[in-house]
Amino acid sequence: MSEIIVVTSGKGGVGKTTSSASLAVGFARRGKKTAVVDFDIGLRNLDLIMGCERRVVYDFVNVINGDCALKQALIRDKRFDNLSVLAASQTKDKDALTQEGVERVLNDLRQEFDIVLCDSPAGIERGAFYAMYFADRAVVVVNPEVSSVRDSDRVLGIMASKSKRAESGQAPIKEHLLLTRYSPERVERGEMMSVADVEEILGIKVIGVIPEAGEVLAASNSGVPVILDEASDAGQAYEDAIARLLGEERPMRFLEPKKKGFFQRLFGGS
Amino acid sequence: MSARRQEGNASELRSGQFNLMVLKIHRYAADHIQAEMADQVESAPQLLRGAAVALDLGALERLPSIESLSDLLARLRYVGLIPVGLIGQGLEWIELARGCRIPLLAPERRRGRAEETPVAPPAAEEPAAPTPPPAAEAEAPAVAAPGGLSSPLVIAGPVRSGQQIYARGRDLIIHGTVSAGAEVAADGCVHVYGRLSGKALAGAGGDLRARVYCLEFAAELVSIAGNFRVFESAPRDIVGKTVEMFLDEGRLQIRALR
Repeated sequence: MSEIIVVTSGKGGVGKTTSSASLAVGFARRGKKTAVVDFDIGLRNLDLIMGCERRVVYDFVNVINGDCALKQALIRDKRFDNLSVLAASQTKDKDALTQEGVERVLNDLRQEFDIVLCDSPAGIERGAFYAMYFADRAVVVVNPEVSSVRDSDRVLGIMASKSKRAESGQAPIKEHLLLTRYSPERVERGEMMSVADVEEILGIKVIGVIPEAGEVLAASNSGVPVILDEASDAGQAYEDAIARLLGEERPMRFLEPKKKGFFQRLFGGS
Repeated sequence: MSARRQEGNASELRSGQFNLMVLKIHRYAADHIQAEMADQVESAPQLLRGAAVALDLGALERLPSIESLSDLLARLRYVGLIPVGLIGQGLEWIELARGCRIPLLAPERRRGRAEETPVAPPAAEEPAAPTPPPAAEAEAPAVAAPGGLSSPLVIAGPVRSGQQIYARGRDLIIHGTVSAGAEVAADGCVHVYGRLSGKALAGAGGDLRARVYCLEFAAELVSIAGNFRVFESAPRDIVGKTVEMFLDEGRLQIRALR
């Protein structure tokens, strides 16, 4: 059965697109036929992180407007042929999205794919609203700081009251929390909110904790989602999150500060 | 059963909220009422033909009989209106409504008064709420429960930042936390079975006896009947405690319950 999953946050710069890219690759690597859609009309980014920016010919808005067929706009990933990207338009603005248009494209994607991942723009305006409106599940990306947590709370509230599922009285959108840019060292020093703090305020358990790491930025810049960097903590943490999203039990990792112990020095850990 | 589950239920009951026109009867003269309403419908057919109306007989000295009210309802239908309810509460009204096969709607009235006057006299003369609460995202009017009490509005999950809940004419019960930036308000009492980090307003219609309860106190603001207190930094001795908040001679008091 196909699922629409929105990756959202409210606040900008918390790692939605980075997470969308890694989650999309993670699902595809697990054999799920996956499409990832960039809803940030006018500020196209997902294609960059996915490393397919030079292959964008048609985009999401073209499909909505009927300028091209959905198949023409879907960009197949070079690493996984069961993964496709639907890029945002860089020249239009968010008014190009209509509820009927978005619904039609998402329904068509549902026919073809197991998982349709919607990469939401920041904010709670039109683009973000349509990204979440039709979702079955939501991955709310949050950073361990107060403003991000507050915005995520707001977004969770909107999903609980204004989504299609809420309006039509279906079972609510299933909510997952993905904590990104987590630094155990700074939590220990009391400079950053802990996993427990965030879980308590939002009343939801986290599905994954992605440590703050240089590899994430490097991966984004080179168009290779960090989940493919299997040596990195962040890559492994995303893989854990994928496993949990697919219903597996996995213990949380990377929550403790790294100890510069004997073994680590011996084996050249950072 | 499993097959039915998989397909999902074909129907479900939900509460909804609609604006309803109220037809207030000053004088029980069926002929005149019919003529007046016929004129009204004639002058604004787009608006009024097929419009649902609730009947307010609160101004009458005594209740009409089942026969005469049934006649009036038929006349209203004849001129194009659709009577959908009778406003009133109490035993006589229940019998009258049942006899005419029309739902009985609870009058909009302030809590507290209702307890003093169980059998409903005219409801429409009630003064408007002195401090109307902010426009509510989720607002539900009072529903009459047996015995003339209004059943509370129960919210089964958390109330998140930016959400507003208002229980008109009744108590509000929240199963979950009220986040910072959320507002919960009721004309009656507010009960939060969780952490209260947002704003809570009880007695929004002016009832000085309304109270606020929460399992874990961390509120930004608490108001009872318009007497409010802002907690820029909450007092150390009550943060995280289970507390009760009430008015004592116009001053907002907070008391730990355990």
